[in-house]
Amino acid sequence: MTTGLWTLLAVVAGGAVLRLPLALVMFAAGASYLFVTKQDIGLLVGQVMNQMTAMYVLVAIPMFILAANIMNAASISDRLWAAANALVGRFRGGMGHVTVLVSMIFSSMSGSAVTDAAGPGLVATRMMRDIGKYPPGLACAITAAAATIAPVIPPSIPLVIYALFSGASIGALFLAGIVPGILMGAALMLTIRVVAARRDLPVGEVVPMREMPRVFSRAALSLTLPVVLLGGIWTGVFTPTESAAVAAFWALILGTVVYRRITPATVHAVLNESTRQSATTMLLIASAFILNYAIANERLAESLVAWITAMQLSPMQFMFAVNLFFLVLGCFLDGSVMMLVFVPLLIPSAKALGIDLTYFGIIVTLNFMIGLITPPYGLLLFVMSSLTRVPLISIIREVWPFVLVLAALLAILTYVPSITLFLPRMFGYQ
Amino acid sequence: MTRQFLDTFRRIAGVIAAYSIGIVFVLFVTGVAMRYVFHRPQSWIDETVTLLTVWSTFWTAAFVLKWPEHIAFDIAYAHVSPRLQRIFLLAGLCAFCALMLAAMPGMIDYTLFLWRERTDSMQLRLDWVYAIFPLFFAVIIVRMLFAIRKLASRDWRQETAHWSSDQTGDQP
Repeated sequence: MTTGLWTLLAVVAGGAVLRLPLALVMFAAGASYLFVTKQDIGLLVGQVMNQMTAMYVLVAIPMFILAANIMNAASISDRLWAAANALVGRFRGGMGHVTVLVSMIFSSMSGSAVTDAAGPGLVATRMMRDIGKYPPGLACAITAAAATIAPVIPPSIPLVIYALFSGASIGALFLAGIVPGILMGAALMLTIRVVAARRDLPVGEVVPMREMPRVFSRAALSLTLPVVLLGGIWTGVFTPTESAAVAAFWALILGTVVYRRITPATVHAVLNESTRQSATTMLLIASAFILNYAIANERLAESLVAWITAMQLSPMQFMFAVNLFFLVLGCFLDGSVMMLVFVPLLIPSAKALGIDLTYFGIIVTLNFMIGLITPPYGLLLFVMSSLTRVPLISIIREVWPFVLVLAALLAILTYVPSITLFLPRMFGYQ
Repeated sequence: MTRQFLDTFRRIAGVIAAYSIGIVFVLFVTGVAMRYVFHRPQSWIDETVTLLTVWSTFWTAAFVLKWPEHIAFDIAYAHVSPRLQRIFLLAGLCAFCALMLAAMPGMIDYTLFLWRERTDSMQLRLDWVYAIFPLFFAVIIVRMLFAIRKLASRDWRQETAHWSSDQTGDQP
């Protein structure tokens, strides 16, 4: 390793431990690298701004965040809850099943796990805790686990970022996420079934048949959102980037004209919240550009390819090694950092081994989602704890079965790529 | 007086940030409508939304976001005593300011040098477009100097508590 690289690592590690914001730490690491390697410090401006201003796809991120926040403000979560409750609420641990189902439906409109947890997730936790009398830690754990489905089922912010760095098609990635997302939901519901029997969780309410048409008609218009969103992308009426704004527009129409829940004051609050959320994510992406410049300049990815070739790993061995690496790293690092720094480093190796980049994208995203609920550093656990004031430790105690089940599903999806790839292939993506 | 001015400025900056994302949204929807409904694609829209998003990101991060709102690795920080937290922050902030102050002249030079370049569609001067980046660092450095001053004062506990707060604190 060169002095430049050592400096880079030392600044990242030191800055992070001292609690500086990660984006600023990454900018500082890039600046130190440029100083130590005696390059023009102006490259910091050039590398970051040239890439940021050239990447039209990036605009999808604030738009997806805005769309999800409008949907939350438009009371779409409550309507989805009622419809899902009519379907699966009647089983043992019914509210847990409803939480997962609502998360899956909401996933097809939103692309971020945190917005999913903060929107329908919060509604679900309150219902489970206050009406269902679930232990608070378990209610939060179920919600956090269900929220991890959001970025796997399209649309998805992590998949947009992955497409940006890998060159894989967003359309193919969005199609590839559907089956794994549905399987995640099924796996979580099975786990809830087992947990419910062991913990003697209550059976949910049975919605009488004559009530069904009213309940479903209240949710029907909300369910047009994924149809507009995904239908538009796949028929080519608008690009995935534009689809985010169209989704926000549709949700705004529903919220103002149909449901009459959105007022000018709500619009201001939603815009304010969305700007803040998107700035934190986008700043981290911006800082990754200078870090990735340093990594490219050091030819680190090429060294990794040579090392992996020398080890003669098979593609499957490589994929399992990647899973292990990210699952361990996910216990301590934020998913966005892994996506922005480590994934670009691994993509050349995946290409050299002939691994399909769409499949690779879904697998790494699933890894990061598991990382979001893996203690000690699981962002969704923190979010749930801070939103509900339930102690972190009691959520951590309850979340393990869900982590293990999702990890087992990850192993199956890794071992059988066709589960992920058959849908994109059916639609003609190669 | 200074405090009042800073609070008002921050509120205005917040409103600008919020509405910039609103404008991006309106432009996007207009762009789709112009292309698919009126069959008159507008190329300037793509460039405007991209540049506005980049500006909005750095503007919001510089003027609006509070320190605890940034994504950070706080496992170590959360588990040490307030005294050690003070040392952590002082060391990190001073080092960051020194480094970025040293980088500022080079960054400004590079940005000014771009005056002859123009953006593709709207032919905007690139030095103006890129100026938000050095400006972002200048504002961050000033805010960090405020934090350092507070950490060095008798009220340092307020500042260490703010950095570990849950997005609810206040700061200059």
